Amino acid sequence: MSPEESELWRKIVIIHNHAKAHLIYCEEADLNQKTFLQPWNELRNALEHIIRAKACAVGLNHLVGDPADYQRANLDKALGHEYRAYFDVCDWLTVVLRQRIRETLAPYTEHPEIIREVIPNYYADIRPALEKLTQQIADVRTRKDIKGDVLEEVEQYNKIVLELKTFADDLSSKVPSLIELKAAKVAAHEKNVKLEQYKGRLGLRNAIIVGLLTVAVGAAITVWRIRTFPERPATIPPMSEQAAETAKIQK
Amino acid sequence: MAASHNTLREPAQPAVRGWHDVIDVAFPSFGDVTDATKTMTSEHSQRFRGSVRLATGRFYTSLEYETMRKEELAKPLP
Repeated sequence: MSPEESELWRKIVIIHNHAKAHLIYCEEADLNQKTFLQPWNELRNALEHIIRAKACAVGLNHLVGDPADYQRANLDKALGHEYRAYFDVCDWLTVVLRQRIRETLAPYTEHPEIIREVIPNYYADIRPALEKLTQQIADVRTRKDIKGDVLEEVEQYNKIVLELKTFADDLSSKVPSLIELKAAKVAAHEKNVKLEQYKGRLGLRNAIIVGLLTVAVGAAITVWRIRTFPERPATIPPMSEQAAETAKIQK
Repeated sequence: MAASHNTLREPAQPAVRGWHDVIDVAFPSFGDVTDATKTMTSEHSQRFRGSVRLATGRFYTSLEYETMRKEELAKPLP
């Protein structure tokens, strides 16, 4: 086997197993319990090219021109199908991960501060990475030609995919903390609401008491005055002599 | 005659051929997966061994997958 063929085989094996790992995961984690056939079709086509290359390698295909060229070309095609299978699976995987993450965090949508407290890197790293990855994988799938080092590209995406997978798997361990914190927040909120309602009721009660007291004090003063000064003078008291003189001078 | 090895050939004509003759022949394409595929898979499941998921029609049709994907991506993450 030439070094070039050996390298092609290495890439095929690695990418195939990355795709396989994600395919198994998706079949288990898909919320609809369904499989996606497109990657299987790509794997079937990859197998077809591998069989052609191997048939030539073991001397079973005598119709080919240059056997080395034939094998290399078929392995290259097989690698292309493995690459497409990988990104088809990744596309499905990002949807599955989004579903899992969204449904787990759905009860806390109204409380982003709880998510931020329990999962500090969610808003900073995880959510942007998931949004970005979804778009990037969709772009790769729509790209028809395969350029550059495919293994390097797959490894680069796989690193992000594995981080998100790990996050989605660990998310279930965060649920008790999320529930606990939400319960505490809700209890604190209810306590605040009750306190505010109590304050409101207290204010109203105080106002009524003050009003009643004012009326009572007013009534008491009136009663006291009536009892203390039972007859008020009916006429205006006569002017003093000095006042009468002053009035005359003024006239 | 040297066989072309850069592209998959058109599907073989319906004729019984020896294995030597089909090494370079592509499998027939199954095209888009539709509801008809599901019906056919379920109908023939008694005659073939294979995945229970396939036998019970638990796979996305092309349309179902695209719809599910679009709907999911349209829902905002918390």
